[in-house]
Amino acid sequence: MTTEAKNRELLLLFFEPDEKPDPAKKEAFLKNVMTGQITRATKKTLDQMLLTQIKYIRKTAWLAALMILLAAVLITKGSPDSVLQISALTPLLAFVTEIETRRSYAYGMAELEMTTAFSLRSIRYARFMILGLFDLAVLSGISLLIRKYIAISAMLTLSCLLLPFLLTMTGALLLERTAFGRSHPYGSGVLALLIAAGTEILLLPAGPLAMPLNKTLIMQDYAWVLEIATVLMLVTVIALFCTNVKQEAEMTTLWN
Amino acid sequence: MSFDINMQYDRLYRYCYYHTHNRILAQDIVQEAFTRYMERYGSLNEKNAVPYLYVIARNLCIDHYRRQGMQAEKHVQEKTYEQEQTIGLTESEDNTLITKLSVQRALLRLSEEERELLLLISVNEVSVREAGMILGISRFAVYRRLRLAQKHFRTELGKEGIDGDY
Repeated sequence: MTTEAKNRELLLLFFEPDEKPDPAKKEAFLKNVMTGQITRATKKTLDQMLLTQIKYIRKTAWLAALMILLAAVLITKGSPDSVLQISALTPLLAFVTEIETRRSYAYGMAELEMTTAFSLRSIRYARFMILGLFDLAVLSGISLLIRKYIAISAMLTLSCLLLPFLLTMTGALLLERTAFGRSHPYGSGVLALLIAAGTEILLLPAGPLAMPLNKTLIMQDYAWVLEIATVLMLVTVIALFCTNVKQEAEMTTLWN
Repeated sequence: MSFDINMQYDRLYRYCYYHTHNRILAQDIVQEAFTRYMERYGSLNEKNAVPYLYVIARNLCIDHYRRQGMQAEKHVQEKTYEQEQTIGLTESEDNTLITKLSVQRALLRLSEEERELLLLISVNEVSVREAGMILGISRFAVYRRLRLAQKHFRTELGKEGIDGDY
């Protein structure tokens, strides 16, 4: 007999219950578990969950994206020379998105949401996907606007918009992992403002990346750098989000 | 990864019985733990099914203590005292009972945390990773504390006259 087996035998002298579980009660219960009759909650489909999440996402999150779109429209009409500066608005969109996806955990609503039929993890993924797709639609709309005034490729336009957005998301997701970030959900707002300011300075008409309209742009020569950077940042954001959600799921106490 | 529901039910019952010393309550807690788990996750074939079940059961046991205003240690000591009174009559007749008493005394000199670790890992064969999740500590901490618990247990067994390679 191995050491572990000997050890276990000794410990069982103490830990083995004096009374076994009621066999009839056990059998009836396990039969219910195996036949799926155990749940008290109503079964919900994935569609219903997604719809619920859409309703649960605050109106401010949708409005923020639409306001950025509106700002883009006004800038392109009023000041076409500064059209690429719209990129400076995307960090704010990223901040609103990030805050909304982590709202449950940040504001202690995890325990409430975990009483639903779906895990907190699925809820966060659903919210991330919904808001991510919405933001992508908004940014694509903005990129179409920009391309009316600047003759650059669609991919490059989207990269210009996405890079500050993804940079903010990366910073916010990294901040979320820290104790400071978890206790100060709006801390990523400061980060968003800094990145927005930095983007604004870089893209000022007189700045180092000045973009005169209808002329050959220096950036077009290095478009591939920006595009690759965008793809890499997108992968980083998704990976960070998934690991953050996994860590949260492990850390969250299962409430009674 | 397949989930042996019968085996896990019994192991969880053992865990809950250790904490409550009440057959009906322990069984109710086990079934409540399974019910809550199934409502949330739907499938027992998830990688973390075992630790989640233990966490739910553990929290239910703690709730019970709070309601009763009692501590686990008191339960354990009360149980041992009862057994000593009964066993006293047959001590000379049964070596197994003598060993059992000795093991009880040895284990009572360990801390509650040490007993919990031994129950989870050495008896219920929960993995180190799972034990970490249940107790809310790192794997390294589990390894370290388990080693100490086993060493402490061996020492106490030695004091009770039970020697050997444990």
